[in-house]
Amino acid sequence: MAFLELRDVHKRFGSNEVLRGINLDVELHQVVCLIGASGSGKSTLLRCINQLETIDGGEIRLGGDRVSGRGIDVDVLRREVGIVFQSFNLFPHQTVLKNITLAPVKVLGFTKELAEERGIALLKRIGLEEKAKEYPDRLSGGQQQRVAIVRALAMEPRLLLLDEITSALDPELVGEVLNIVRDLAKDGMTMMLATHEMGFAKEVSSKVCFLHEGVIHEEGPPEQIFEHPQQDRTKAFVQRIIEAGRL
Amino acid sequence: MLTYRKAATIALLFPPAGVPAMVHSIRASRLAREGEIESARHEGERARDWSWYAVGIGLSVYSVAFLTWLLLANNHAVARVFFGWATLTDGAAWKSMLKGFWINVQVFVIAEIIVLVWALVVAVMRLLPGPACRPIRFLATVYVDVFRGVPSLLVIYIVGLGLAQANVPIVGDFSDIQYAIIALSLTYGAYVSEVYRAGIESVHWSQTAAARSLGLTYSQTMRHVVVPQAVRRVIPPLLNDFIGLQKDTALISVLGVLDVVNRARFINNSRGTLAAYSMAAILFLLVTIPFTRWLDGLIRRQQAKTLAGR
Amino acid sequence: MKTPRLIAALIAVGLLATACGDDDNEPAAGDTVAPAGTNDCKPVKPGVLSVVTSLPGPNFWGTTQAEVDPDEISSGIEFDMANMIAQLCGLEMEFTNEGFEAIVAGQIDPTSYDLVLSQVTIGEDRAKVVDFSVGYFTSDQGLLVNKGTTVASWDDVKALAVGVQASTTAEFYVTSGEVAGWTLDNVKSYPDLASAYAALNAGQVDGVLIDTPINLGQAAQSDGKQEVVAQFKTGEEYGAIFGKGNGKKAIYDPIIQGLIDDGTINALIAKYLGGDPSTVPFVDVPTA
Repeated sequence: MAFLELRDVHKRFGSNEVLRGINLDVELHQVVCLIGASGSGKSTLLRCINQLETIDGGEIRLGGDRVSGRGIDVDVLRREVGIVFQSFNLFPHQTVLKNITLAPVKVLGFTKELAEERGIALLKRIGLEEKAKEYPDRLSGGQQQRVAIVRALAMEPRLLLLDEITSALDPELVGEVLNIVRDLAKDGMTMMLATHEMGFAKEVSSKVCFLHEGVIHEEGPPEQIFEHPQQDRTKAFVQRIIEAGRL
Repeated sequence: MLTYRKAATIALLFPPAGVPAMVHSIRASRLAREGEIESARHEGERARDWSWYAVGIGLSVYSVAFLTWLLLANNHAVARVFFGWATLTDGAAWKSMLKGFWINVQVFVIAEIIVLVWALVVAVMRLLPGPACRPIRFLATVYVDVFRGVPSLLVIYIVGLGLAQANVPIVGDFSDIQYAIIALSLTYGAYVSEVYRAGIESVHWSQTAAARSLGLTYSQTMRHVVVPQAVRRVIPPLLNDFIGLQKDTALISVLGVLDVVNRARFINNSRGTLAAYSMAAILFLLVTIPFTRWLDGLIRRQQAKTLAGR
Repeated sequence: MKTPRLIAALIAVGLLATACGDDDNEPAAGDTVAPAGTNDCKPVKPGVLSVVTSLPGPNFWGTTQAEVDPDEISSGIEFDMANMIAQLCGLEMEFTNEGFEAIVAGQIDPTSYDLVLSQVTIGEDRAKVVDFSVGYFTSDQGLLVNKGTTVASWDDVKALAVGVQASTTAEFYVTSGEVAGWTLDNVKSYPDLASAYAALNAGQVDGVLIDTPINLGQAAQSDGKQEVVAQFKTGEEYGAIFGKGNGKKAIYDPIIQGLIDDGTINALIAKYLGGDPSTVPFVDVPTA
């Protein structure tokens, strides 16, 4: 039994079926990368896992328990699963430290002091502790995204979802964000990334899934997908990426 | 686009600026015909500038002239009736008016505070999600529709006279001033709740997504993430509605309260004039104009802050 | 977290403050040192005769040129009457201001006052919603005009633009169509009397129709520019108003009748009115 199991997951927006039967297993401590063209359903899939979107068919199980469909305590699920968004989504009216400590205090019941202690420790890990009392609009994009990651980590999730977290960043800021993800992977965090950063995906992932037209067209270790893709579509996609100089 | 010539022709309606405008425009045409394009354009610009002066200064001068004529016409009737000097300089009259105006001020200050809170409650009620909350959403919608649709005057009558008569315990025993506060809070609460609602809905869904993803419940999300941002955003337009409330306190006079309007009527009757109404108007302006300027400053500072981070 | 509590506290304080600050007018300086009253008048507020009126009421509440502040009213026909009645009941006198149309429609809460003294004409329709006392003042309708306007007959009145105050019997007479012969075509109705008089000053109307004594008061302060040129018999009387059926009529009628019988009220009329109504010529209103 895998840590995260997706069985025949379907998701429709109106008449447009975006996910057409996703089957996927993610083991603990694995790093799974989702690649594919825009609109192939990468973001949608991640949002379905933490129930920001509800699925129209199939089942999702986390740690053996069903977490999709009716009768699920969504807030409990979301304590286990953290997500970081492409557009950071920090709370602009609160300081960096408050962003990080809000949920631990309100949801996990930590005292303010304890949450702040842990928050500062997390900020130290990414080298941003002097920004603790700043507001998000004073930080660069890369710094904001790193704070967003730390904000998700403060809830001590067992699974971290990363939805194209570098796509909105200037190229020179991408590196600092990816460094954190690399560290997290080394520390054994179970993660799923939707990303266009193919080089990075090749480096950190245990498994790469190529999404095409709502299904996982091919999945396998990074060497396979990027160097010896089995399916034609995968080949074509990887080829285009290499030509664009992104691999 | 008006040509220099056409603009200058219109400008002639105010000769002091219209004549120079016309002169420049004629020169411009001549220079253009002679091939001196550069100078022609220059003259054309001067013509245009003078035309604008004609509009601005001309409008001001004619407006003042019209107002003066209005005041002096009919044997100074308007001036005498609305600006009778004797009344305007009567210290005792001003003293009585200020006593009454203090009541209006109390009413709008308290009503504003109530509205700030009450309107937010109504806005949140309207936005509660899920089928179970449909009755609450419906109630809030009915409230907003009714109190935006009924003139404040009628609400004051119904609340001030109707509630008092119904002899309901506690609610039937309020003073006229308290009824006025309730009536105005009900009316303006409806308007302001729509402002809040627009503000809440303008907070991008990604904020809610991020908050919910962290495990915050719906009410925690509203309380700590959405509403604080919404409120900051809409405070300036919301305060704009308050100017209306400040003026509508004049309506409490229909309940017999000796506010600035009723005291003005009393003075008018004692002096055979309507100048006290002008005095009351001045008192209202003394409040609303500074408030408006302060509000403009607030909006400017807020916009500057929003753009700074980009 | 502190802000919502602060706001709630502010609201509570604000509402309480306004509860304390009521809009009653304090009793004016009078020589009413309340002796042991000769009557038990059962006031709604212990120790106080609560009177309602609709200001302004020139010569009835305040003598017009004297005050600009309603709180300083210290004279006037009905003001003096109220003080006398209070004295006879062994009470202090306090008065509050209400809107005229609310008063005559019976919309003032009867448990909040003892009686209304506001130059109210006794009328059948009004008596359906309020109780009237005995009539203490005879008043016909008078026409105030700018000096130089001649009114010798009702036809002359018909040719004029006439201003009236809303909700008065004058308005009823000339606009309702229910009083034979009285209907005028050129009538302007104003929410308050001051506006009607202002219109007369401005020439927007040629005359103002209202109870003769009230018009006489206005004529007196017009420096001779205006006069009450004619009056029209209606046999109307002023009466005090009580809440319908609440028994106050039985208490106060004898007191008021007493003031009529011993000539007090006539003395007040003579004191405060700028002219004797009986000197204004009567003009017939043809009913045909």
